[in-house]
Amino acid sequence: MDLKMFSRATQALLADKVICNETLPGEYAFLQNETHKREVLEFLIRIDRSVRSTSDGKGFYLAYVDLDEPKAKTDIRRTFKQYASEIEPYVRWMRFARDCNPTGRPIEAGLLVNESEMLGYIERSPELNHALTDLTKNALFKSAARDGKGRIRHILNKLESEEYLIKLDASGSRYRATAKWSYLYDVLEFIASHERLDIEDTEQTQGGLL
Amino acid sequence: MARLDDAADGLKSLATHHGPVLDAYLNHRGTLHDTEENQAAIKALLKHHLAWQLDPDEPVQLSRALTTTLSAVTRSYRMSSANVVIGHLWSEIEEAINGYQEAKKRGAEEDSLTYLGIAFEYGQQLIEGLTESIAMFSHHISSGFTHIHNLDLRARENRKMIDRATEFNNILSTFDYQDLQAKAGRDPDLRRLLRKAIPKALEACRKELIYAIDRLTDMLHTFNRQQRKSRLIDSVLGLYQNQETYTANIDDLDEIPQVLNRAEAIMVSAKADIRNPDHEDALAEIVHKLPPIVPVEEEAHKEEPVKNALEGETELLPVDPIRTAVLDAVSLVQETSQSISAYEVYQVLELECEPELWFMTLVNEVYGLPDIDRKSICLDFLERRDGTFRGNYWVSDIVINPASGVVV
Repeated sequence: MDLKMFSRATQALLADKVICNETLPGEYAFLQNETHKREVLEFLIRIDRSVRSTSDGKGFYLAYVDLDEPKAKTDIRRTFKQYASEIEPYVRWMRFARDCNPTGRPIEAGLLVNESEMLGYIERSPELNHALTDLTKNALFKSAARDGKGRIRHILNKLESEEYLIKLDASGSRYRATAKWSYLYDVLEFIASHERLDIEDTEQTQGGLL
Repeated sequence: MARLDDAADGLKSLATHHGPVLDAYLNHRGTLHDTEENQAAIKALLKHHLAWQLDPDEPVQLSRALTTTLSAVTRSYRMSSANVVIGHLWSEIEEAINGYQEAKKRGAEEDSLTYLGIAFEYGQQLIEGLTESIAMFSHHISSGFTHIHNLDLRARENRKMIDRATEFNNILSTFDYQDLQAKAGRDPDLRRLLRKAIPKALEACRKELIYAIDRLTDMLHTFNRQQRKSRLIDSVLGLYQNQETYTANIDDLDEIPQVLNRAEAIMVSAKADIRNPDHEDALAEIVHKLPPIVPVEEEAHKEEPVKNALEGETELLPVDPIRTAVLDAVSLVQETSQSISAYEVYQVLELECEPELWFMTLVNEVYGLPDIDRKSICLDFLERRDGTFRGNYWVSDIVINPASGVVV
């Protein structure tokens, strides 16, 4: 086993990183190996921690071993409360990014986010421009920028600092989405089920059976 | 020369009657129906031997020379209707083989060769058709249906293609190798076609088709996953939009769901051990790289009386020439009670700014005038609506009018 990689992957988990192919490719490949993952797990179990992966398998993160443990429950409730208070602007951004994608794809780990492409969309659509302006009124993405370019740049920088995106070039116009979105989708799935939202589609279900 | 003229006439009549010809070829299996609109086409095609008729009561058929040409030029159409074409070609091959065997039985050597020729020609077309069908699926696999922006429509198109591939696969499975073997019998020519060429093409096609169905199904799963995510985004956002104060909450849950099981960071920053010689070396290296610190010199405190600003010199700020021009224009309208064009004022005064800035300053200054002055004038915008964004207007001039009661 690569002890150096073991140390790096474990430390990243303990630092609350979502390890994925985009952010930490070496650590991600290490944890994809079942034997290595077990080694990390055995180490974490000694400090009442575990490693979980997102539903799509694109990200690994730190979890509690025992959810019935009162301290774990309290911590999760507190963390969720804080996380939930910021979900709305992120979801609004997800819709905005989907509407600015040339193939209408929703954002997910590994997807390329192109600033100039987005800018092209908002220049052509007053509706998207309005949605962008609205987004920058939210506390999370608050920006005093006076034009679309400044607003988009501000949001992308914020998402980069929150590790939802990683910059692909020095000019900062191309980014790649990380598995933090995968975790957010898992939370959204939970919210949808908790609030009994119907997100199934008959046509799709039939197609899925093929 | 006469042959050349005939050929030119034939091609011209094809160009003139291309509508009925294509309709007959694509929709009626080569039959030109005896309708009033088709009369001219029938007459011209019969004249140039591009169509034939068994009997005056029988329908007119496009000649083989013409259908072969059309088959080549309508390749794209044949790709989309390959299933039908393959089925049709196979029945033609069977008919030709029956004719060949019948002619051989009767000792009609020449006819048997004609039938064999037809069977091989259709056999060739069948193999070509199989290759073209696969090419269509490969094209969609490599393009990923990206020519369609909407995710739902893209998934629907993908489903349609899977259905078509499955249907095509079903057609291929109707080709029975034993039946082909039986049909070929001991005839060396038929064996070449039915036991070698066609089975080889069928096998290659079947392999590629199975691969195509797998890939298309994978693509559909991806589209389905993306569609689900897309709906999830809209649904959750709907919660926030329908209820302004909505926040996701888990206080009502006794058990925490596994999906929310995420622990907080417990990584504590490590500190150097100053008693450890290894750490000491590392620390020395860090310290060595640090930029030198220049000691800050403390400024000696001097007591000075506070200056009275009112006793200072008065400084007058220069008046903005654009603003002055606006105020002059407004005064002119008020004094003369005549309308003036803001653009003309701009041109006459040769202001050093863009007309947009001039118009904006004018509007801002007029709106900012004291109430009594504001009521004395009104502004008329000469504008036209933007062709693309209907809510936007392009202003070409502003007319400053003396007010007639209503302020704009």
